[in-house]
Amino acid sequence: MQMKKAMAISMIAAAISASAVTPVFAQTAAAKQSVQINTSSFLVNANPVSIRTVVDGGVTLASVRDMINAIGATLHINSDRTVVVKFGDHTLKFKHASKSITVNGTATPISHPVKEVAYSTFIEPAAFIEALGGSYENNAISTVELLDGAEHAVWVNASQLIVSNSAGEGREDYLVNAATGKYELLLTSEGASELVLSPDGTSVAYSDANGAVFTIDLATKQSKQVSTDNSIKNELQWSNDGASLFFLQGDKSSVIAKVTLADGKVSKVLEDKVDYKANLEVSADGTQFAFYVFKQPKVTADSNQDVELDDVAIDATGTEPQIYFYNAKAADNKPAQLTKDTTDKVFLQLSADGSKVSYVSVSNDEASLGQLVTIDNTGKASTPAFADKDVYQLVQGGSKLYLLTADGSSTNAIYEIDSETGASKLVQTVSDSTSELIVSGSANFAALIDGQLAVWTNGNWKNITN
Amino acid sequence: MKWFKQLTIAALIAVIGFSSVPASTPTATAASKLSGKIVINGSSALLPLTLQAANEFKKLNPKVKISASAAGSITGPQAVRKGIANIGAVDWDASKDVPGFKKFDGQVAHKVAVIPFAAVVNKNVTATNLTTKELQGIFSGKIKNWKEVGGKDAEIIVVNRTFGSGTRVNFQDKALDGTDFMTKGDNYKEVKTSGDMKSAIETTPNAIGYMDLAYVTDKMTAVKINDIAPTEANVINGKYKVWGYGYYMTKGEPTGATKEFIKYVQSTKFQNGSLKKLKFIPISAIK
Repeated sequence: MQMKKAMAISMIAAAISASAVTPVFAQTAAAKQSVQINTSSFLVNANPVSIRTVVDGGVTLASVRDMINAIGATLHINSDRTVVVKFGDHTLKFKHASKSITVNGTATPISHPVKEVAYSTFIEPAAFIEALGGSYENNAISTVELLDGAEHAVWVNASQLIVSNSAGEGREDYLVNAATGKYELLLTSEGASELVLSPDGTSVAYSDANGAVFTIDLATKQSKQVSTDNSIKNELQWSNDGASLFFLQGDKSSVIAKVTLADGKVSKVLEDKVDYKANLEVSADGTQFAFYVFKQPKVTADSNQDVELDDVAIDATGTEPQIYFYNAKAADNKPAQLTKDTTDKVFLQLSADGSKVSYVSVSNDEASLGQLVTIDNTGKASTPAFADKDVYQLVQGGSKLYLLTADGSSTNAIYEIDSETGASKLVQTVSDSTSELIVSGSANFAALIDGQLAVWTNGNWKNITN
Repeated sequence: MKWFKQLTIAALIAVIGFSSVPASTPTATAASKLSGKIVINGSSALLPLTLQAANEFKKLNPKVKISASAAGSITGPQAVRKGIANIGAVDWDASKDVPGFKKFDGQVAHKVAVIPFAAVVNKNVTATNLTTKELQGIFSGKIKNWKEVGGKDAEIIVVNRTFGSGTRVNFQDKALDGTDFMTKGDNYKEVKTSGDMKSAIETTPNAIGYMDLAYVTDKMTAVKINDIAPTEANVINGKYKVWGYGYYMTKGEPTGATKEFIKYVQSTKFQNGSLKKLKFIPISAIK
């Protein structure tokens, strides 16, 4: 709580004391008063901008011209000296010393009159920005309409994310600016898999409801069908060279297969007749694979018995998910079982060199604590790197692992783990309403918090979707 | 100006830090908060859907343990009534009487999918467009040779699901108009699961059976019924009649992790994403 309070105070302080004074003393023609023009720091759509301000009667007014330049509005002054500002579908009119402004033809009172100082016009920034359809709060101006909601997100690069939301009978995927929240539609689809980003970050791939595979060039937004194969494809994973996509094939995810982008051909990598594989992970060289296998409990039921007798029994012994590793160079269709314990396992990650896997093991007791476990590809447990916190999520970002863990009463913590040494460090805290942590290869952080996407920027979590 | 209001809230969050601002409608629960164990049993047709949903749900709720098995629809509500499962996956609404099965008192049915069913034949069968009357004849044992329905001269092998299968209940009701199945004979066999049916049809020349459309492979042929192909489009446009809803049955209204899991399966995200990819039809598609 100490840290939270300190951060809140420092943010408020930053917001209310952002004025760097560049004094310009001027005499207004009307009042013959000396007014000091300052240069204040504002955030306009999350970007720092300097805007001239004056304090008149205890009220801070901001330069109309500086604000319209910052948000991209247009300014025109009529022959009767009426100032006309246009921004989107909003038109704002006012005169100097006026106590009201006309917004799209409707007069609206303002609490402090418009003031002219040294041939520049100053106005209350909140009234001005809100009349133009934006929002204003403590020197922060926002005129970008944010995307409603975020169900899934992935970093494209340090400045962009792909954000996905359900829409109508399908899903919409957007490219969202990480600094401003400005977004553009990338794909509308029905029954498509999640978009998976290529290793070089220039394109995404997905399979549609018919199993066909497509890629989209993120620069041109052009879509290209790379395969017409209609088998069910789960958990697409790019090869490191971007030449092919691996996936779990079939309604029971029985086969590991790959489709080659150049010719669309599908070939099998592992066909061991074991159903319900999940969480496919591929090494950088595309030859080593890790995955879970979900076994089904054995059900005993006699269909000749009277239904009313409920002669059915379920034996779940030995059906906990287990982790398997397969080296395709062996080409023997015989994956090795790495785990045999009875814990639940989630968030499987395979290291880029394929030498080890990490996952969150969830115990079977009432407390159900999550614990990071790392084992090598022969099944030997290596450093149990992080055992003192309840782990909620594991994410791989570049060569590092990141954990979302329990922390204080209202926060979760994000830790960075060095994959080689196992050393951990606290990166930052986040609301305990976080449902998902998203980390880029270069350690940019985003989080889904109460259905909104927030990005860690300049020491704060900033929402970039509604 | 809704977005403007939300922008203001967002700006406020930025200024006051991490304090408890009222949340918008959450699309996922916090990763840490939900725990429990869910045991699901029943329909083999619904098993791929259930396991896919379980895999996705556990990433959002890692402390929820989910076990899913299949031994035929009827074992779903039976397991719920017996208290050994939280969810009974079944291909009919087991809270109501259906031909062959009485209702399960006190259980609540939750629609989770639309399941199209198809009559399927081995790849060597040339008769691939059958009328309802021909299907009735074949599955009752009155029609014994493919040449009687326009195919080549070969004895028909009928593969049926065992009693208690939801696929069997739906196929008998909707494809055969309630006509009884044959129950024995040299060219008759019964299989326990959809997977067994798939294997039997793929590997048995001259065989006919039925399964949900998601299980149809390129090693078999899904036959037209009365000139209508078993496709998702034909189910939605009302031309193809052999389909049913898949249900999750619970003992009373569900609570806790079970409630949240059912909500996830019914969510637009899952219904319009993974569920479609697995060849099921979203419940909202049927008007």
